[in-house]
Amino acid sequence: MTSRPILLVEDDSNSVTFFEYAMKTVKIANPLHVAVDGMEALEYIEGTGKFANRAAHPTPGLVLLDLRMPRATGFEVLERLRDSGRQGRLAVVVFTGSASDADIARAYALGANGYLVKPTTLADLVAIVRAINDFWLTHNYPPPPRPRLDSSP
Amino acid sequence: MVMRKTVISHIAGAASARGSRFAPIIEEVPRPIVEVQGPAHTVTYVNPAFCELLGRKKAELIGKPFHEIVPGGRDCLPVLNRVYQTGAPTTHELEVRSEPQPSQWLYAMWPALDTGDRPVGVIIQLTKVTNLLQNAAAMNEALLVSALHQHELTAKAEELNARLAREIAGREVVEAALHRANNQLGIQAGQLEKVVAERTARLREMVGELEAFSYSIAHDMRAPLRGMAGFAQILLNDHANQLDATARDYLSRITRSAARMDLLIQGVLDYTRVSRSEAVLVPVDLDGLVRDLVATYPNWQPPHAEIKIEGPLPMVRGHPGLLTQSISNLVGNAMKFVAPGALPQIRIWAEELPATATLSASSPPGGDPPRTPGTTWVRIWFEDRGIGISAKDQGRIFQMFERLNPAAQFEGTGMGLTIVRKAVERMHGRTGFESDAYGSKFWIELEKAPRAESGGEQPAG
Repeated sequence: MTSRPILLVEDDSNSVTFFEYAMKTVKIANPLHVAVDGMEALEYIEGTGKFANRAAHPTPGLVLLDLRMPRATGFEVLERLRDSGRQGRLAVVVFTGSASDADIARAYALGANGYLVKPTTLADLVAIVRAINDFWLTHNYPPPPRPRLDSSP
Repeated sequence: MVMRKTVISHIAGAASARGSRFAPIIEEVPRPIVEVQGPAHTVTYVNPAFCELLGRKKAELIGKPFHEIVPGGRDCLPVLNRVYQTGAPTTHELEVRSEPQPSQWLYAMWPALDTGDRPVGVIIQLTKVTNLLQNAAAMNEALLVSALHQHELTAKAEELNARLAREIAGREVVEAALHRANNQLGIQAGQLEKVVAERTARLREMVGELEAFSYSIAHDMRAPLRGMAGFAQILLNDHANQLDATARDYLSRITRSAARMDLLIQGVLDYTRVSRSEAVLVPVDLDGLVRDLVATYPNWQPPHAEIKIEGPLPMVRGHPGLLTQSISNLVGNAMKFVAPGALPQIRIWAEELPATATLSASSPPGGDPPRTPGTTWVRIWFEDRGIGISAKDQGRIFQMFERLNPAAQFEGTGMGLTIVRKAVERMHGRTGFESDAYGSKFWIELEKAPRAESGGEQPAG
């Protein structure tokens, strides 16, 4: 059980709206932070730039990562996170429209913890968000944040 | 000549004095010989050959003057007289035209001498040559003609030779031209092949780009589609009480249209994935794959359906993803196309094809993949008791976007079987079906794989 925020990395505002709607329907209490592209996601995760204040922007308990985005793609985000080693233990689940084998394989190869495909209907989205809540936010033990990176009191 | 005189001098004597050893010889000689005596040239001796020549008897001739017994005899007299008077032998030629057939009479004359070497008569040897001149003339003529002919022939031969030479020269020119043309053709064929290869490569590249394009277009259409469907659904979920029945109906229609578009997009994505994905063929445990697949769909279980797998299904050479796609489409169709309210009943089984049957099996339009001899092929059947396919529709069921049934009655995109065919083609197999009023039987043919080869490690479908 984590109460840490969910970081949704998503450039499509509709998708954000539906995700919020599904969270509300499933009654997820965790705060949601949205990064609109890969660069912003990295800034948030690393606590740099406008996200330097960790109190206001705590390290996420789960990252839901779209793949195709401007500035930096989901793959680039994964690559940077896993290669740097600094956030190597962050739970990152890909949440994308692509179900291609190549994308799935590449995402796992870059260290994704899961791979979910965006459904078309709201009902299906609600089901998936419920599953996310059940597994990642309720039953799963997330990797503990490293002390030196956790600047929160 | 002395010898002759001596010998001949005895002829007359031989005729009178029997017992001469020459008499029989002269009698037997096949040449006509006659002896005349005295200034009147009275015939004193004739041999049988002479009688035969004149066609008269000896008795009719002896004692007659010579010129009376032979044709043209009078013309001989001057010569005969000279021989008789001078004793000098001579020859004489006489042409006789009085006879029906003109002839040539050749005379050889020499004197008959008495013991004192005085001429007492003349011995004549006669030869009748019929048509000699004529023959000679004819021969001459023939010779001339043949000479002329020979000339003509020679001229003709020369002409022919010249013509042949010309023809050969012409042919050489033609051959040279042909040779050049052949070379040019060879060069052009080479160039053409190169062009074809280049164009094929470019075309393949373009088709690849087009497929990638359609994939990404289809993929990108999903985001706005999700938007449409999602907001319509939110309105229906949360704001229904603010809307009247018509507005709610419209929202439902938006939702249904979006769902249908999603199916189409899914079809395009499946098709391009099936066409473009790398299909490395491996031995696949078909039995496990089909059973797992059927178990995945809640709607395919009793009491919604009766699916009977008559197994175990064999190992096949295939691609788990392509197989899963094909079989779920085929079973999905069998589930879908049943009379309203009827229970879908599906039977799945496999049969091994005899080596020759693979050659005569009905094949899809557009040709068959080549089949290596020595491989065994299996046909997997999917039999339903659904609505069947009418004869007029059977030619187009594998074509893209062909839908045989009204959309209101049977949900579908018209891509399912196209995807099946494409997927099976990628596995070097074939597809086909049989259908009647009691249902349809679809089949796919795949190469059989040995069971041992699998090694227990099977990529998931």
